[in-house]
Amino acid sequence: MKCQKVREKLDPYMAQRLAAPVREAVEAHLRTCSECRQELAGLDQLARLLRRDAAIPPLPEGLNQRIMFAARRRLAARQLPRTTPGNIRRRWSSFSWPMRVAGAATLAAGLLFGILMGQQTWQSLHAENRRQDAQTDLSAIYELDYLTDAPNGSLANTYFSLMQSPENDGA
Amino acid sequence: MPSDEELMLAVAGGELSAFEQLVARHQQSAWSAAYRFLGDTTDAEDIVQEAFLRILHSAERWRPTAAFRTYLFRVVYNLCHDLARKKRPHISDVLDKVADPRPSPDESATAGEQIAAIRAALSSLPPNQRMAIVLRYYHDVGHEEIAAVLHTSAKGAERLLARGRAALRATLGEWLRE
Repeated sequence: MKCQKVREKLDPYMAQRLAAPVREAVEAHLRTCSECRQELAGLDQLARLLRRDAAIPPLPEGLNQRIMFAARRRLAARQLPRTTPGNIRRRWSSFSWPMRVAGAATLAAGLLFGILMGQQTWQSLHAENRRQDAQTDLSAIYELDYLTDAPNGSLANTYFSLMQSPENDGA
Repeated sequence: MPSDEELMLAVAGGELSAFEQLVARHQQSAWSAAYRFLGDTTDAEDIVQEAFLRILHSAERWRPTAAFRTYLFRVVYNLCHDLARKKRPHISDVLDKVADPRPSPDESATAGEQIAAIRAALSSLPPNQRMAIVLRYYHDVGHEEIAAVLHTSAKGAERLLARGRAALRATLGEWLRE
């Protein structure tokens, strides 16, 4: 075995991960090659130095419980149905055609009913407004009560009569 | 006792108790790898929690093509790498390091200083070399498994380890000569 090949095997050799025949070939080479022995010593030195830093802070207390709590929460959130466009589409396509037609017809009927009800409400409100307008005494609004005392045939009396006439109700 | 892979299949079937067993078995390894990579307890804790939650989330898609531990280390590494990318050191931190070189080891050098030097040297490595060294020297992981964690070939893992070791030797030279 040549030096380059042996050096590739030195790390797994140190970790005792080589198959027996390869390990024996590496050892045979090391017995005769001082440079490769030096390389192995360097690797060993570095490994020993790194392992002096053996202690790390202990596992945070309760980490296990926190992970399980978060896991349960995420699973619960995943099981809740969400009303995303994708979900609606998927749910819609899970229905059979007759069910889809029935659903669409119900939706259309509901919309039509809503429109008709809205129109009726609007008409009745409008009529009520008009009736209230008709009953409104314009002379009181514009404070023209003093014109009632004007003599018959005068310009003020004619103006007052015109204002009180039904044509001015907008009907 | 069920194997990790059997537990993962049970997790995929919705058994949360199987997931709990996996957490209990592997949280220490995940914690150690994350802490050695990041050097920060708060970040490491977040990473461990998120790694397990991601594993739970994708349990249905998991296939036993590799050992569970390899899969866990891969998830931890991906999360650590993302976090390290987001938290790149500020320029002033780099300048501080340049202005304040590592104290040379002398008779009064304590074990604490030596450990600080080891950690500083490790944290100066690129992420893939750093994780390769962490897995090799602190978790006794073989080249093939390191390759699987780091998305590379066995040869690629060997090269990462060799480059990482060369960089560490250069940085920790004086400590090595002690």
